[in-house]
Amino acid sequence: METGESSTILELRNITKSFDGVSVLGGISLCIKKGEFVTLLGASGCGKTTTLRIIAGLETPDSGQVLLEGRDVVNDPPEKRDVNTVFQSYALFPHMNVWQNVAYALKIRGVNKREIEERVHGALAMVQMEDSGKKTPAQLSGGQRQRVAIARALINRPKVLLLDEPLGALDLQLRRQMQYELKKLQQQLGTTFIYVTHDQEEAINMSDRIVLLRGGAIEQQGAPNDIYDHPRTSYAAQFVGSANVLRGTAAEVRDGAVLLRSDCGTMYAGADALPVQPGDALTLAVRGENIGISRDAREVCLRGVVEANSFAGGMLRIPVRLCDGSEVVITRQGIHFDFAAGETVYLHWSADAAVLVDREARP
Amino acid sequence: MKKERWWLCAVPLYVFTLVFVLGPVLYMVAVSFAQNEAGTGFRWAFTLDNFAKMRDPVYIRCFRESFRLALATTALNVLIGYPFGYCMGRLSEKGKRIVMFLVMVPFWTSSLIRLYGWIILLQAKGTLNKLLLALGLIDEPLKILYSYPAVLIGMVYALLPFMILAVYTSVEKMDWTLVEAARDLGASRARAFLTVTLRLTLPGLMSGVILTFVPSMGLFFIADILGGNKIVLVGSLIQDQMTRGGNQPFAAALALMLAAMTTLMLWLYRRLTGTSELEGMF
Repeated sequence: METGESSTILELRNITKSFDGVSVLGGISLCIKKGEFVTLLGASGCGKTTTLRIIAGLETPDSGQVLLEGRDVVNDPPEKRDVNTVFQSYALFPHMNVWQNVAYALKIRGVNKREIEERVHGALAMVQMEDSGKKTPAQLSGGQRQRVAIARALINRPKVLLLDEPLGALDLQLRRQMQYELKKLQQQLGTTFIYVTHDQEEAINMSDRIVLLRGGAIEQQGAPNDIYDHPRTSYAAQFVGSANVLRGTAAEVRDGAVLLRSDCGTMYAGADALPVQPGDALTLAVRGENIGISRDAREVCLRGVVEANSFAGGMLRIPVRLCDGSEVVITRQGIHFDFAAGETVYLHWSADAAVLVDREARP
Repeated sequence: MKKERWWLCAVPLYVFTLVFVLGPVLYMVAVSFAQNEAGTGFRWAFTLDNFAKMRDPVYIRCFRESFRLALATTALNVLIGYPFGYCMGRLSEKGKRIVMFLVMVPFWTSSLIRLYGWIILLQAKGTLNKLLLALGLIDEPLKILYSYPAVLIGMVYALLPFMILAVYTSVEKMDWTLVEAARDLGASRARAFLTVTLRLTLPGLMSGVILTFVPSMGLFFIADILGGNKIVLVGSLIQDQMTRGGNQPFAAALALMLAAMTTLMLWLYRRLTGTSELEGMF
């Protein structure tokens, strides 16, 4: 079905951008559907914020097109585009109170007084800030500023809302709560959200689709569970799933599983659609929670030494040093772990827990 | 306990201020109510004569003239200094350093010497006239020197750096994301400037206005040098009464009136602009 075509709200075609001769975006093409929650995920410097600013009109691309509902808006100034932005620093006007901040866009457009009153009230109610209209931004907490920034950006009922790491300045607990609220708001309004973050957890929790950027190009895009379970590259596996990446040589292929041999032992990976010949150099990704650990060797396993362990976010992280010096991180729920630092252990996992990555060279 | 003695460190400063700033001012106030005695100075006898004397149209005209010049100087400084300071604040770090250096360079020379420079530029056979004649823009030399425009040029020239630096300081502190936010919300470039940039750099502009207006009420040597003796400002009048006129009480009364008027103007200005925040002052 071609339903995707008709409901595309925003399309980027071959966007390139460089600053002072350094290329930041090397030809990004992206289609975003109406009502979709898309996250541009990537490390700093990957071009995610630049992409967002190009969509907003705050930056002009060197080449390429930005199609908003099919019309190229690349030469339109920001005020002529039907998109609004929630800035990383919130960018609330310090000389205006909350009410005036939210009303700003309506006043600029010359909306009549009664409608302004109504819509500002509605927008503030939407973010549970209706009692703070008279406060100045300086009197608000980080989370409240965030809410006002969202209300201000949504008051114009934009076709697309752009959010540039909006939760970056908040503490962990508040961030989790705001993730939930943002997602709920997006579903209620049905507005298309394009969200920029470097935080994989945020991306996974909120998005319909994650677009992973790396070095100004799209590394992989897809639904969160798709990228999480089927990373195509070692970078995607590490960035989205915090997976361990290991190298080996194909020894045997049987029943949909590939047996790999490395200097520190043997390991399994699930076979994929591409053919594998014995002797091929392969890379696999396996997540820490799927790795089994024991004191006795198994038929297929890797040997290593427990380094230490650390507890963070309800998870125990146990780095194990392999004989070739590489590190595999095992994760466990809770705080109990039976192995001491310095102990020799054997690591193993089932074939369906590990995926082969980097099968095609990056373009 | 130790902490409480910190205020002792400030004592010398307070003493200095009392003796050398507040003292003379109080003395001046006292003298303004004293009786003049020609030739011998003054007598400590209370009188309002010195103030009554100011009602003479000659002196009223002198105040009006000073006031007009100060307002014109300030207005021109705003018109030149704001765009200058604004553009300066938007330069690269290197550009800022270079322009800052150029703005500061004149301070290395005595202001009196720089005024003589203006005489050379503006006089009948001066650089400006030669240039204009050579370009064929005028047929005979302009008589700028020893006129009101020359005094105005000199005043604006002398006080412009203060305006520029005051504006620059607040432009430098501007968060430009706010302008982007305004554009994003639908404001044109001009609208964003008026509603955000101008409003947020207003404290700098206000400081600049005060830093220009207050001195321009008192700067009399510029009018003396570039204006010949056609333009008599309150400052010159005070100096004249102190020295040649030999009327110290009247000079004190004039000075007090000048200070009072300036304060009144500043108060009015702050009331009108509505805000009390000033860049780097108060």
